[in-house]
Amino acid sequence: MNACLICPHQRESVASLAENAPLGLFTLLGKPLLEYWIEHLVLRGCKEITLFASDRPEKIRETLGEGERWGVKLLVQPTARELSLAEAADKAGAGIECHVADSFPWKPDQKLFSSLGDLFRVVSQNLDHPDMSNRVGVKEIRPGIWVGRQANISSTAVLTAPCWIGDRAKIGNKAVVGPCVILENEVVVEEGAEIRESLIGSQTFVGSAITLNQSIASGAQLMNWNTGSHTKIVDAFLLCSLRPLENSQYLQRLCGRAVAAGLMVVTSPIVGLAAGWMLLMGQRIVRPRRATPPQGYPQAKPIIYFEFPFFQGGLRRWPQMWNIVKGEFVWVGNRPLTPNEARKLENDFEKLWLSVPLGFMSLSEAQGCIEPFCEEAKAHSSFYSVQADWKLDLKIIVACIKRFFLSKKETSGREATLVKKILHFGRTAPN
Amino acid sequence: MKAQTNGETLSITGIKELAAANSNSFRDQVRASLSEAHKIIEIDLSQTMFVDSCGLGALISLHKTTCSRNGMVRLVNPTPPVQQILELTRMHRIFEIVKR
Repeated sequence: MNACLICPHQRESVASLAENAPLGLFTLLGKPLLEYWIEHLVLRGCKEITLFASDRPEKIRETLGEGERWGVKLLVQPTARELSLAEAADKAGAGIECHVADSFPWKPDQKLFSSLGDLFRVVSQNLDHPDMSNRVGVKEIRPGIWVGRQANISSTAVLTAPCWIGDRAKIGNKAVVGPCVILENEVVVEEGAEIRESLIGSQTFVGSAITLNQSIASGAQLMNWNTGSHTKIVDAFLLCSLRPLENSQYLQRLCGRAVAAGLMVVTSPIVGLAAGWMLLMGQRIVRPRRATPPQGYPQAKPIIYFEFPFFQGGLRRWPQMWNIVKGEFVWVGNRPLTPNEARKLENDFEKLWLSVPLGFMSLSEAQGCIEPFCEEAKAHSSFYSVQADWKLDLKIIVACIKRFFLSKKETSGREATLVKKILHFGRTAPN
Repeated sequence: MKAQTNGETLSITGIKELAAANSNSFRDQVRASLSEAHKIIEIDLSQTMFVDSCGLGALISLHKTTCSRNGMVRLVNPTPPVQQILELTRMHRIFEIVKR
């Protein structure tokens, strides 16, 4: 038996909950929501589960893996937007059951993300559900007070049922927790803090002598589930996230920008001389281009980049290193598309081209595509959008350096074989 | 920011934010507008979208000033985000909050 799940996305009333991770990975009563669904489907005998994800599919894949934990085959399939049930059923094929993972699987009619109030109400109503309270490692220390593994609760803290205290949560002296409080995993509540009728997201720090009432706090985001108002706390001693600077990607980009700046400085005398010579010869030195910004880029207007028409290979793109320095491009991504080309992307599959940052180098070039916007380039770009990781990036960099500077072609490998399959899938994908 | 006197009350309006960047100047301007006759400072927060710990510090400072004259600070119509911060930091127990 196979099934597919649609990961929730674009729920405006709870948008701030998705700041750090997609809504499907939001931890509720100790587990990301998608895990409840996978376990539910596994218990019903599913052997293969497809997850349609439009919001950060790579993060979902990274968190859930390929389903080994549950003994199923888990496939995360990126989509350009959240699919409807009908679209998902159409994509998945006949006879495959589809669900939207925006509720607990045992209560599919109680939507979690329709409003902050609904989220709090549904979660607090499920505190005593057998799936929560009978979980290995969860103890009911007093009637209505469930505590996860390795939680550290001060003997002077006042706990009032019902409340849920997640794994490795820490509650300081004289803190008041409850009634109706959910502290997710690794929450730290400092001395004297008071929390009532609230949900505190995982890895959140609640400062000393803070009062949270009818609130949902996740990191520095503070929401009132009763009024729907929302604010971001800038003073970390009051409320902040304890997530390790999840910024390996950010650091990677910062390094990439620094490398680009360094390379520009080192090579600028040679490039400057060549450009000066071409100027003396009456040639045009730079050609401006317009690129459609990728999804998630902070501005909607086209990105301007330049190239040197008098150079060949990688040097032609020398000015684009400035775009990397500015953070508009990355070293490896999908090549920029003009607004006209972007309009020609026909279906969700092809639109994946714009789901990753614009790159100085791309997989299609590494694989030897001559035409930058041919069917094969589209397939490579979609493949890269789905499968991008540091190993693939490294392979692309090596292949592109060979192509740009040593004129060698790399057209073999797993990517090329898979792209043939993708090309076939792309042609059959619905619009 | 505008300051207006109404008997014993000094009314402050037009505050867009109370944060590290403007909290000191806000506090100094309010203090400069205070005369011996003023006992109550009424701060209209209906346009204030953001308050941080420095802004709260400025409010506390004015609260101390008025307390020394047997007066008070009254916060009028705080916006929902500001109300949240006041409740989070328990400032709603110190200041009189009025919704008109």
